[in-house]
Amino acid sequence: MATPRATGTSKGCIDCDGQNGLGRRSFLKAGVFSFMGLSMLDLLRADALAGAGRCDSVILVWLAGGPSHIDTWDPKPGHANGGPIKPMDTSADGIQISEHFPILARNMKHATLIRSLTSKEGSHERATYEMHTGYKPLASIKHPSLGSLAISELPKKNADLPAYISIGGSSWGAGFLGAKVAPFQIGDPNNPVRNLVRPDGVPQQRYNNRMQLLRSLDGPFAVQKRGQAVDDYGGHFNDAIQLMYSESVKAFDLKNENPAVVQRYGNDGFAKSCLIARRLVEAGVRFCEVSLGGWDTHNDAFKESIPRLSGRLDRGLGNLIEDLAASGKLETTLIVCTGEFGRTPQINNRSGRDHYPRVWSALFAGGGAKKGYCHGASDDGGAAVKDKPVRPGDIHATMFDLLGIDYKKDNFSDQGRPIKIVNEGESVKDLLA
Amino acid sequence: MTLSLRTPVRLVLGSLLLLTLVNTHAAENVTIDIPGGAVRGRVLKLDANEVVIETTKGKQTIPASFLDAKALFQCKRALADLTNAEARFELGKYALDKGLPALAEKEFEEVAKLDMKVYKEKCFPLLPKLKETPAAPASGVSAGATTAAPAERAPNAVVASMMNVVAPQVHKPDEKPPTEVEVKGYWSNADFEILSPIDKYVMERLKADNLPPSPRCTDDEFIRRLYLDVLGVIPASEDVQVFVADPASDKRAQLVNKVLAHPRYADHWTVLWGDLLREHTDAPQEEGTIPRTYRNWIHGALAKNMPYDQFVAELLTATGRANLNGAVNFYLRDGRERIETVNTAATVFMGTRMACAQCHDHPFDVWEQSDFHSLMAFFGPRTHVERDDLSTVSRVKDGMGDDYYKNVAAMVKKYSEEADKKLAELAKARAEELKKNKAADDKLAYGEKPPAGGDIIKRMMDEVEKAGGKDTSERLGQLLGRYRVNWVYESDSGEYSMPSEVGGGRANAVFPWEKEKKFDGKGSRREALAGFLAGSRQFAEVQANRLWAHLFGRGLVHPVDDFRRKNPPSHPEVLALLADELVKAKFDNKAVLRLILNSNTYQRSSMPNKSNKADEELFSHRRLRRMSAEQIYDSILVASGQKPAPKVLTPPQGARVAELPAKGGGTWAYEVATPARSGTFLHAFNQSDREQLMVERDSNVSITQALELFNGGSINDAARLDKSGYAVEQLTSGKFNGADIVNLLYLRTLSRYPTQTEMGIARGYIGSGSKPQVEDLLWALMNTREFMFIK
Repeated sequence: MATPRATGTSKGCIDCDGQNGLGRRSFLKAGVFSFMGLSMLDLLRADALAGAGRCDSVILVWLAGGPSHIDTWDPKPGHANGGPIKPMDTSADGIQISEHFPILARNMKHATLIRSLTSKEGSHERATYEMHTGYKPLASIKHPSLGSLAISELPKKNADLPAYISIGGSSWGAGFLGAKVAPFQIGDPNNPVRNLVRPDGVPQQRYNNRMQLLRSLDGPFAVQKRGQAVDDYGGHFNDAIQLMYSESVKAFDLKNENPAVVQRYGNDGFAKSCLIARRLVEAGVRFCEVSLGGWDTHNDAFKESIPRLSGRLDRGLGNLIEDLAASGKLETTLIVCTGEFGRTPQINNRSGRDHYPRVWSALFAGGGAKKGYCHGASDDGGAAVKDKPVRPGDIHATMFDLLGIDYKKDNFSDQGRPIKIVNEGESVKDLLA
Repeated sequence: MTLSLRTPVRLVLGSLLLLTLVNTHAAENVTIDIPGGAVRGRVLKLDANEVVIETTKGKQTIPASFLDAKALFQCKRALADLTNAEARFELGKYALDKGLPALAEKEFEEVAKLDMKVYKEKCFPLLPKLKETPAAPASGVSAGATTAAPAERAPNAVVASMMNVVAPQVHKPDEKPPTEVEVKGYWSNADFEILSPIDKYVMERLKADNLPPSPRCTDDEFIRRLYLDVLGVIPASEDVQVFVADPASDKRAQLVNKVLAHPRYADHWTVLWGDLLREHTDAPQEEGTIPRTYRNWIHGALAKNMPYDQFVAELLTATGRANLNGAVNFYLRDGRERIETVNTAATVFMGTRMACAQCHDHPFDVWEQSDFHSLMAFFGPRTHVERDDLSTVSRVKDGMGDDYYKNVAAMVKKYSEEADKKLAELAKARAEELKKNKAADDKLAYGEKPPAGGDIIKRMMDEVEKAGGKDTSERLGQLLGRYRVNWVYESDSGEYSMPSEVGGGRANAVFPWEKEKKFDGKGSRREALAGFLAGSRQFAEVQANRLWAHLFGRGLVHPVDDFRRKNPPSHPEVLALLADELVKAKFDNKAVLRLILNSNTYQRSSMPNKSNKADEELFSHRRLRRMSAEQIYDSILVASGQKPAPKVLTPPQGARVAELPAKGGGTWAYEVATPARSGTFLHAFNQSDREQLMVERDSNVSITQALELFNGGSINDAARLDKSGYAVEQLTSGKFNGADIVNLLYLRTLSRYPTQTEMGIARGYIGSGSKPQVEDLLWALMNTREFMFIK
């Protein structure tokens, strides 16, 4: 019978904090969770597979709108296209990035830049779809996003937490893979525990009473066994309560973070998302997406927009890399930072740059990618790939490769069509450490 | 008893029950086990077609094929002369033939008691067969026992010992014809009634497959289901009270008519068509659509119940600007990507997945690449989407908007007197221009290019720029809410070429489903296509099937966009019937809906029985479905009194019906911007993203949904008095006592009265009816699974 389970029963086991290895508590935990279809075997499998890839989790930092490569990762000092933003040296030999990235600059020794990314899609929607799924949008099929693909291939690391969490920004869903691998959405990074805590104005005692009442009123229908979905939803009742009362839920809430660290990231929503993503990955979430929009800088880009956005990116992503590197967690966590395309090398007469997919840049950090390295190059004016072109699918393939996922495998669409995990792409071995 | 373990499980349980009854109750009456229950009564008749049983509630006729072997044996036995050894031997033999050895053995024992001669001559040779009945073991328990060679087995020990009885005790069992009758079963004759020709075909199929249907649903189940399926929201509690109390025998048919006439019909079906046409509130600017003009057009067409063939023709032949003719969004939606238009038309109007054939011959269907491009030839390159200049239309309700320009002028005034003067002139000119545009569009003949329009705003901005500088002009642009209003029209020249892989050359516009239908070179190609569609049988079938699928959660052809020879309908006669009705009614969707809604097949309970539980496609029982995002959203609105629930019934004079007025205001789900943003209620319940053509919603359940319903704003605000929980305010006003409150909340949320147990629990919880407790009860009821699943 699938009535909601008492919330207190698993309290004693949930404080399992050992994400590394299978302790005695994991065995206890497996007992508790076996009723949810998550057996001891799954946990063992999770442990066994942890070593299959070089990394076990991914944070995708999405820069929506198409950041200008020349004004961020690929400065062109001295060239007419260079623009007013100056380059600065970094902790990686010979690699310069925008002057607005001081924290990132001191952490470049942990990261890899790709300056030869190239694609064909110049419209936001289509390009965003392609970068998130590896496919061009079609009305006839909805492709799964990278996060859904990853978690459909990997077992859960933390039974309490959703495996794929998207913080702020738009939704990139499970496509034909179905709701079971859809991202858990945190709509507002300033309120990450929305719906994970009881509503304002309902004290705990009253909430418990409500739940108790719900349980007794829900029972009669549930036992009629009118359909599988009723049982499934009962399972989600349990999971929801499980999550609400799980110790792991603390990972969502920055109240539980060292105030000095919170301050370091600052009050910005994007930086907060990065910090939440870090905490979630540490707690065993496989795939997190955070996003920073506003990079569609057609007009008046250099005085205010790009410096402001760059500052926000620096503080969020810079601190994220620095923290994960310091804790050693960067070894097993891959950070991928990209947008949907680059921007025109020539500055337009409105003092901005327009959409440009022909050449642009992305950043990898940790997770088995090379450190302090730059792959490929654009030409002198940042207008075309000079060396080692990389397609969007290559980025995806490399990511899956690092996760230990066979990216050439077929999934089957709801219409039975075989759809490869990565459509057109090969892992870029040169990027791997 | 060991033998019976080897028969299938459902027989095992039944046999135990039967034996108990026969042995201990001395059978004053007969109990027939039917799937999901039992009927107790006197068997009057049994033949190959049906069984007639006299019960306390009158004669009940059950199709014979719905009874399993054991039930049939029970009937036979009830009609047999149990004092006659021959008759009992026949019974035993029948049981043996039907794979019921335990029952056979029992009968043979009785034969032995009645007449040892008959036993020795007839039963004895059959004894070994008692062991070899090929019934598959239902569980592992006795699997091993079936392997021994049957012929070598000794007769069962009980029987063997009886062989030694020299003088059989002739014992007349104390069996009288059944006198006392009662019904424990849940079938009534109404369950097998043929209310509509649909039922005839569905029942024939169920009989042929020995799949007993579930009974008709109850009145409260029916009213909730009907409102949700047709109007997208739960019924008003007043309607439930009136309907349930109404003694009229044709009340369901009456309700169907009233519900079909309710204005919520358009609201609900706008959502379905929004999914199929991928209606988008925030289409990218470059598409040149205007927010909501598409939705308004769809809603308007449904509100006036536009015939379906006309609906499709208006979309296909749409010409002009979105602010004047919302149907042009059919093209604007995909910009200049006519391939998407062809996919939409093929999938939605003809139930054909042709997308693969765009690039290669279809791998598992008859479609060749040339078919796809023959269809393309009806559009390209003659169907033009032209970029218009910047226009402002977003806040112009009727497309003319004199007032609007006054407002804009007022906004601009603060920037520049001169700009203001210019604007006033231009605004007037713009209004004139739009009127002319409309008039011109209205009488636009095929092949004529509509006059350019909409550049007034551009001129306005230029003027403002001259007068007040660039900044002012840009701010004005933002204030105005600029949209490109692209043009759609069909020219009379231009030919479409086949791709080189299929030989290139001019592609003729040929209707791929009926290749004798070719464009004859005269007039509009799009009109020709609309005509070919309307005359195509498959076109009517696809729409009839869609209406069916919307009501049943599964098409007769399933999936609904997969009409092809190798995927035939489950009930061809029913599909034919519905398509005939659609054509006969001149493509009035409601005529088909009425036909379906009045059938017994639609009115089946969602409670499966043992036999039909696994049935997915023969409509033996109602398929339980989760409400769609919009259905839950709207139902929460009406349960909490934020919006009035649909109400179509009037209480009979003098009847007391408890009422709770609703607050009004608020926004129905269909009015909310689509697609819903992530982190919102509608998104959590899998609203379509309106990008992919979604013929069926993803009805999966998720943890996000559970959390949304536990803790989310929508539901808690709904239950909260200080927010929008109007219902709670009314209930706790002192007008109602505890039992009233519980009754009303059950009626408002689950559309039924509470059971006694539920009443007890709920009354215990709310005590004297203080606000927090009543809020909690409303919250809990909206969180029950019964609330979100449509029974």
